Amino acid sequence: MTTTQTARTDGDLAAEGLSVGYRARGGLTQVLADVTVTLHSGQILGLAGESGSGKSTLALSLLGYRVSGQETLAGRVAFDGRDLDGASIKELRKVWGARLAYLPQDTATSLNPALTIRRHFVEGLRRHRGLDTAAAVARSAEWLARVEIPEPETALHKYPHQFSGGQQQRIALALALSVEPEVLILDEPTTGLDVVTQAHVNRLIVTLARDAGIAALYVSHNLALLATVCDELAIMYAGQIVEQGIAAQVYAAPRHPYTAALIGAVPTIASDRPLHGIPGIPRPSVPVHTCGFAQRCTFRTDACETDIPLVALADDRAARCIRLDELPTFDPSAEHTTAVVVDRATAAKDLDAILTVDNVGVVFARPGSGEPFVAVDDVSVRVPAGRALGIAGESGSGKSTLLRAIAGLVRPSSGTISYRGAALASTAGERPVALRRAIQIVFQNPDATLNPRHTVYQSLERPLKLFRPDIAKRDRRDAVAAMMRQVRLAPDLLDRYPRNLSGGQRQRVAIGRALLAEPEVLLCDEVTSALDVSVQASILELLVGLQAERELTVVFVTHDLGVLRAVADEAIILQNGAIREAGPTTRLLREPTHPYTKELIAAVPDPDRAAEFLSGGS
Amino acid sequence: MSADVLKNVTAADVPLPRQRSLRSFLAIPQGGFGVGLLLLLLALVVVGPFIAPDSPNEISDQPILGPSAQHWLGTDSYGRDILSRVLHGGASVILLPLLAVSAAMVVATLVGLVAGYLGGKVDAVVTWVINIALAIPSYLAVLVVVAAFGGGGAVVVTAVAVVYAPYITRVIRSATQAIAPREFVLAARARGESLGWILFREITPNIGPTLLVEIALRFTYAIMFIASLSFLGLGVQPPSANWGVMVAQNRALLLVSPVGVLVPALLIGVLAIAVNLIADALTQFFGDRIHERLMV
Repeated sequence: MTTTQTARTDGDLAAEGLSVGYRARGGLTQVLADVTVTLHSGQILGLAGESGSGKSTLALSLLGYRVSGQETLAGRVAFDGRDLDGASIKELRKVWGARLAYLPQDTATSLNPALTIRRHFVEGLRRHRGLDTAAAVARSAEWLARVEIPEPETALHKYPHQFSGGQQQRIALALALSVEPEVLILDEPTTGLDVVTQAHVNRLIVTLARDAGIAALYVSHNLALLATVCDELAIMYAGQIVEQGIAAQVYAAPRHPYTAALIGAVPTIASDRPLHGIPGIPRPSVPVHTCGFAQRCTFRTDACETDIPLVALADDRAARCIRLDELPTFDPSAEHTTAVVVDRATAAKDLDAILTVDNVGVVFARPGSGEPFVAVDDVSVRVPAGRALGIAGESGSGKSTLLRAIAGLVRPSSGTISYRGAALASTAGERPVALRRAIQIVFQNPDATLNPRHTVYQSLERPLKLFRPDIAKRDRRDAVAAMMRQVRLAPDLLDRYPRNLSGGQRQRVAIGRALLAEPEVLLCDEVTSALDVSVQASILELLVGLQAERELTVVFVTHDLGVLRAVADEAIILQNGAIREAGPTTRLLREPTHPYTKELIAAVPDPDRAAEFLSGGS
Repeated sequence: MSADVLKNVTAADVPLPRQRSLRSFLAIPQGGFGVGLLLLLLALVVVGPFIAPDSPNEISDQPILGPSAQHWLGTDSYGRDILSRVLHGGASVILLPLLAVSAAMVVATLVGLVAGYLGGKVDAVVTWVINIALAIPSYLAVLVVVAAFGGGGAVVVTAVAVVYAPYITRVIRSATQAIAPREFVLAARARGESLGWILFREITPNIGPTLLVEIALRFTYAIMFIASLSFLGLGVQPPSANWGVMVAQNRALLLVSPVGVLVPALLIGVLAIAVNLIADALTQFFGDRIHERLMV
């Protein structure tokens, strides 16, 4: 490439003992405590944590970016011998974009919809690199080619909306890298994208950042991804770094109980390791005179009620725990003995089908254009009673539409859906009460699944009123309270409104609402995709347990093959509305036959096959 | 089931709902000021008739007297005490717009909910009717109605309600469209809930804020509209005491005795401003709440 980067002397960006707080309504909330990280040239540091752990605040603080009310309480951010956290906005403007680049999650915030791609590039290159327009345009085309945008010369004259989400994120990446920054901060850069696209963008990020010798920070909630693409890994919890070290080592042999628990909650396609949620809820504030994780830690003792220092270990490892010497060795790949074990010995084909989908198609008219949109294309599948069927695919594959057709929310254009051998009416309203009771659905979005104006009790009472005449009116409250305990919520939450509950708690209420109808079939539409990984694990654990206990038939839609493996006995893979492959989940994932299934599997980040993932799969 | 793996979440783990009270509404500057002004005016309108020195249509003195100790605001061209007429003349200024807006609101909410939720052909017809209705100028429409049926309170209220209903329907319809595809509505459909339950129990509570703001805003317009109609001689008919009618009648005396025009005109203005401030504060109040809900 060009000469500017070889002249670099000190590209390291470091936070040294950084503590940050927000001042609002007269109070001070600390969000980062004593964070020390260094970004080294040519290396990628992964920063993992659940929502609210302070990882995004750290990413922005490293850029010297301050929101109103933000205060540096201790420590500093050092870049090239200067303090970024105390720098004036004028000094920062010289550094931002030119030497420190930032790639946010959403391209809607990084690309201006009113400007062509060319304008985006030329602006930065002229300002930060002093190039004239012709040179800038040439450089832009070169970078677009490097991020594999087809026909870069033509692409320069297009607007952001003319590209797909993955292409937009690649353009944003090219834009950030084209000015040859020394540091690149990536904040969940691929979270909104489909798995295959995610893998593509991640490969580019890693290759280009390493080639350019950039010091990068990669922020993500996806621990498996970070362990695959990063050199080093730092785990954040409640505003502190709880463990840090070489990425592969941290993932393979975690030392801190939180890291171990987090890894145990990550669904994987490689093994039958059951998932475990982390009990309790994340700590909302930075701990004072106690270990941040103590409330949820299985290994907690009274000695943990003190300020815990980050203990340096061999091999550049460090962990924030006082019991490191006494703790057992965590082996994430080991089987856990307390796990829910469902007997799946009986072959599915020997069981009666409770739900049969025969040649179902769903076609939507597209206003404005003559060509109708085929969402579901001639799908046939049978769901054996008491088993879990997984439906996997990327967005737009028709998986949710198929589920909604079964629920009677979308009218199929062709084919039939039968329940216990009898054809179902195509809309829920036309089905008899008994059938509406038997098939219940749980939705994806925890913010929308409950009516914000109904209390938890009002939401849960409704199915009893409609479907359970056997429960007398005066006994309803008891029945609802019993269900709350089954989904692991305390009955004293019944009079709260959904806005007072967390996402995971709302999903539990939604599952409770479905189960109160005493269904035979439970339809789950991406029920965990909006949740943190530890919460996702608890919800999946709950679902798997309830399924076994109540002999429920479950149809589970997901885009995550790891989740598919954790919940489904049988699976179908959908693409463009059509089934590409079907079979028992474990076999499907171990010995895929269809090229699309293989592509999906290759796109799943796996730290054990990091080289394979980065080179583009099989 | 491995019950020990998961800890029950109790109420102690969950933040308490933040109290949204009248007090926090009044703390918004526009809210406090608007409510204060409106209460003052309401007090004037309610208590006014009892403390008025004379009855509104009684010829109590010489015509066209300036302000004096006996007649604080002077007398009009018939020799009626202006202060007494002001004190009596507020009730219809508030009441008629309130009736008109309430009637429009009931019809518009029903039509807007049904059109927004059902969509398809029903929605196409409703949208078509709305678009035609919106193309007709409000004053012209009311003028035609009054010309056909004569003036007076009842006709004006009906006419204004009919003219405003399409505007409100449009707002309710789009608010409904935003709520209808949300998952709790889908869940209700999957349960096989009735149309009435979905519209009034699932959707309406969630468009409540939009509804309230729209009521307050339309009320402001209606006050000005009906006062203008009364001024033009199409609304409340003389000799009734009404601020709009008073402005019209005392207009001829503007140069001789300006208080007879200024005071009722000012009161109409203050009333409109008070309600408008409340509408503004409501937007902020619910805006915050909507924001808070998304932040969780």
